[in-house]
Amino acid sequence: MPALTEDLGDDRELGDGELVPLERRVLSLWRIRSSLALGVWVALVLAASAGAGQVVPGLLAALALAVVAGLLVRWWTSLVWRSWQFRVGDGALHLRHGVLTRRESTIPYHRVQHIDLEAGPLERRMGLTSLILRTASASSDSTVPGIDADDADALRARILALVGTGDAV
Amino acid sequence: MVDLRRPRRTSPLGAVFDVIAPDRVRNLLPVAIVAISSGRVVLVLLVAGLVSLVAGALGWLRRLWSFDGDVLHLDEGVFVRNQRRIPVDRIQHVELERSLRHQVFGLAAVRVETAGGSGAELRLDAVTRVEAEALRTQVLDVLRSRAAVVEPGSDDGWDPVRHGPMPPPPPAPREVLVRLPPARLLLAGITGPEVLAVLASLVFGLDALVDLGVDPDEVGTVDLGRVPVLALALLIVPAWFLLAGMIAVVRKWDLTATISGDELRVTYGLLRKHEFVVRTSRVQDARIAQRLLLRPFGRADLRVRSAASGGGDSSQVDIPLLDDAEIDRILARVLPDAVPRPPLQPAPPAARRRALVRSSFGAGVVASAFAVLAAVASHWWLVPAAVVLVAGPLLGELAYRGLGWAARDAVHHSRSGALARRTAIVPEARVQSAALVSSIFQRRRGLASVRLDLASSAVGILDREAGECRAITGVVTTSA
Repeated sequence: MPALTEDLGDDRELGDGELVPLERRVLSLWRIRSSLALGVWVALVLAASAGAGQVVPGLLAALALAVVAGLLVRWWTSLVWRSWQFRVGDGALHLRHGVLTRRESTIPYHRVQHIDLEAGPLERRMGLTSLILRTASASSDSTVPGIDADDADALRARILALVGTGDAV
Repeated sequence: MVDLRRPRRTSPLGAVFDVIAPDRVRNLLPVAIVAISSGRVVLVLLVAGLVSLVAGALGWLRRLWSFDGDVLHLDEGVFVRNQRRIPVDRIQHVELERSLRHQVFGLAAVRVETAGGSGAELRLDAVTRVEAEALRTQVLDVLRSRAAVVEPGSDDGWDPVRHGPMPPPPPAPREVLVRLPPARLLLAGITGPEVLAVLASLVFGLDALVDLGVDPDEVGTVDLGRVPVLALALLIVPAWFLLAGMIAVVRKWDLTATISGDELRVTYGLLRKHEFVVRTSRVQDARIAQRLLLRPFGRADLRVRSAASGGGDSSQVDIPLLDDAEIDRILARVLPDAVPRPPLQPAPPAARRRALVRSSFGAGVVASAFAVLAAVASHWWLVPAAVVLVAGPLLGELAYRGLGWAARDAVHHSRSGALARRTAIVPEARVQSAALVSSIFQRRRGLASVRLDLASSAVGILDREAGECRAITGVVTTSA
């Protein structure tokens, strides 16, 4: 696994045929998302205990949940992030990810029907975007979940230039 | 020849069909509830019928279709207007269907499908049979003449620049690939999913009896009191299987697969007549399914799929109970590189250990649940526990033996299944993307699986050596 560099450096273009990790910010994005989800659970526990008139045990339980689940989630997201690598090859996009079940996907450019760039509100704030290559198959595993929004346009243009003609079905 | 360039309406009977079609009857359920609860059954039914007839008539007025030799046009919609244009090149297959109600009035339903999307891209529920057949013939003629056109300027062919549009070449002679006699369809029904469908409807019927206020115990005691249980079973079970067989016979009546040039045509059905036409150049993959009961007799079902609609019944055609020679005869025309079918290589020994461990673990969990029951309830629960403990490893061994893979002439053959076995036949040229997938248990034994993503669905090559899997994904994604 290559060093987890925050910046690829100015002399290297994103996906220069080498395996690269996702942006470090993606990890923060995932952590924020899971913290929000965890917050909902904590609020539920608090509300339930307040409703049952057990405020102090409820507070303790919520605290325990927040700490234990928070640490677990933090550990797991960093494992997932570290498992992620992708490579923009000459003929195909290669993805590697997965902690327990590992996936190594290959999406040849000549099969690409169209390309999506997708970014939710959180992703937009963090300057991230997801790149999705759509093939004629619904089961293709072809989403790169977080690349720098500034690089995304150039990357999409590069891949589009490599996409062949014909209906590829 | 029918001129389809002029926009035309579907049959007005379509609006009536919409109200009375058996598959739409469930829409009447809320109406029926309102009718019964309000007590004014006739009035409510009349109003509901009238409203849906008016809605159907408006929809019919707005629905216009035509085919100009290049693009299929469909304009429809009352409130939301939709103008659909389908370039003829993109058509995956054409399907005609004639239910009993269509047959009575000389009508047909047409479905035209392109790749992707959900459901048919063009669906005309009621046009005259003449129009339906004209549409199918004209679409196929255009496709055939386009396939015959060569590069402009070339000497040995039709140059559209110099000669103008090419007349469609005459259709190649039609050759019958296979035709199923009723006896075989009966056998297919008796050993196929129809058996379960009949069982489900039996249960449903019993359920309905309860709803009507009949106590099923009462029904049971009346019968069981007079006739021995054995005689009853002897009566019901054969009737059940016979019914399942008859359903298959009626549904798939006179199933005939013919080929002319590169057009595979499959027709079947007694009450509901189907005609499925797909160009062999559009075929994505084929599947051979061996049913458990028929495996010793060397009979298997063949399924051919196009890229239409990402799955579902309408993008595939099933031909049941073929012998090896018949399967080869069809494959030779549909996926020529797939024959002769290569002998499959068994999975590596590590896969056997994995299959055994996995099924034994599952059996252990189930058996211990039975053991707990035996401890708290009756000792007889030890019997199923013992059965599960023996059957588990046996199933594991069978699952291992079911695994097999081979590649020849850029076509992959992948088999799996412990009891019923399925073999997927996938040309590399159809693979959209590929993934090497390995669970933590597979990695420990140096194994992995490959998933091939097709426009029709995904196909797995299970439990091979990791290096072999990597080679497969490398090859299938580089072939253009």
